[in-house]
Amino acid sequence: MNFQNITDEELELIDKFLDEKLTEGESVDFHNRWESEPDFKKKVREVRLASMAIAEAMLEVEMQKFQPQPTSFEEKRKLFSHRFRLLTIIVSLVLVVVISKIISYTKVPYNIRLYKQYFQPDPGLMTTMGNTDKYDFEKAMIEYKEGKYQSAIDAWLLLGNLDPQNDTIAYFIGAAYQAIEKMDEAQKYLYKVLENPQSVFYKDANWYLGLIAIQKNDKVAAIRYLETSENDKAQKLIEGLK
Amino acid sequence: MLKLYEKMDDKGSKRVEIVIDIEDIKNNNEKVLREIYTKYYYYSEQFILTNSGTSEDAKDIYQEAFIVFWRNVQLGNFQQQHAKSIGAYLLQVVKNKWIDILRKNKNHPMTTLVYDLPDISGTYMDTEEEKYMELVKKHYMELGEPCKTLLEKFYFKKESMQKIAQHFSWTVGSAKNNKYRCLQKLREKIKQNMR
Repeated sequence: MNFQNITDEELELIDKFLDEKLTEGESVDFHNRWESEPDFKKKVREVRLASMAIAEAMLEVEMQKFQPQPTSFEEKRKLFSHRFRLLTIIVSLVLVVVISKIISYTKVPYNIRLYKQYFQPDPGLMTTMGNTDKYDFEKAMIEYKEGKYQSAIDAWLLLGNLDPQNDTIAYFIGAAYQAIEKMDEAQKYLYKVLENPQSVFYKDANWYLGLIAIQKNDKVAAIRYLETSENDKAQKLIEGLK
Repeated sequence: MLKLYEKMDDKGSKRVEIVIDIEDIKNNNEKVLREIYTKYYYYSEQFILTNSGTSEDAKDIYQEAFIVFWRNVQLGNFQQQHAKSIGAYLLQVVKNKWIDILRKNKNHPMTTLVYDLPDISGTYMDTEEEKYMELVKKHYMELGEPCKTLLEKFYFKKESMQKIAQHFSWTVGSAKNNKYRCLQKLREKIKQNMR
């Protein structure tokens, strides 16, 4: 680039030309010089480049302000991939839990699955906690209902010693033992209830003994007890055993 | 200014169409430049990101493309009849520039690159002109005040000498003289740099 000496008048003329603001007279002057002065072309070329470069430098500054900030495509992609990864992890964990549950469930013997499917602890009796001789029994009944089976058993065992023929106490001791899966103990007390076919707990004792028999895989005994229980679910359960 | 036209589409619904006046770009109307810049940015970004580029690559390439577009407007190569194709033009320049980069760095795989327009990445400037412009930009940014603001107002914001004089509390004559002196100062710096 050969630098020419540009006068202030020339600069004004060239600037006006570049801005397309030449008057008619100035335009004639400009074109005459353009045709006759080779250096004038060089001057015009240089001013044009310089003015464009100055503007371009400012445009580059302005462009930094134009730059869109939020939700660029990459951010969306990152967000999506992050969410996708998170979802994949959650789905995988759920699948692992579900599959392990299925595996562990299918590993459990059929009689145990059947027992767990049907066993619900006896809901217990209503309590009034009045100032009566039944106070200790009812206190233990509250513990039984709260799931404190061993405390209830301890209290009822004491009462049972005092009243060995009490079928209610025997039944609930058996029920509590069954709830904590002490099946032999449960059987022992539930058998006591069967000694009295008139007991209001007779059928229920048969039901729970039937379930214990299933848990112990004694199908014949289970069917016998269940049939005697006359429980609504008994028939279906018996069918499940056959 | 951006011109808004209401048009009826094929289904008979009203559709607003933005028509850009190329003169606004020539005059560096900030609002119009911003509108164009942001309007077409994401298309280019999407192209670069789906072709092994990063967000930073997208920004750099788009800015280069935008400068090419702007220069072509200034040089009269991009005229009013092309105004509706600004988006396609910018995207094509971005594609061409990105293809060049990918070719130089063959480790980057390319996908779905389409050559559907002639090469328009250039501005028909020779190397000497490019070099000169880079020097002007460099030394202009290093200019002190009031020269920097004065030249910005005149060459970028296209403000009249009256308005510039008013801004600096000068007479119009002083403003013209100062503009001349400032440009001379810039030219001197470039001359020294080129020696």
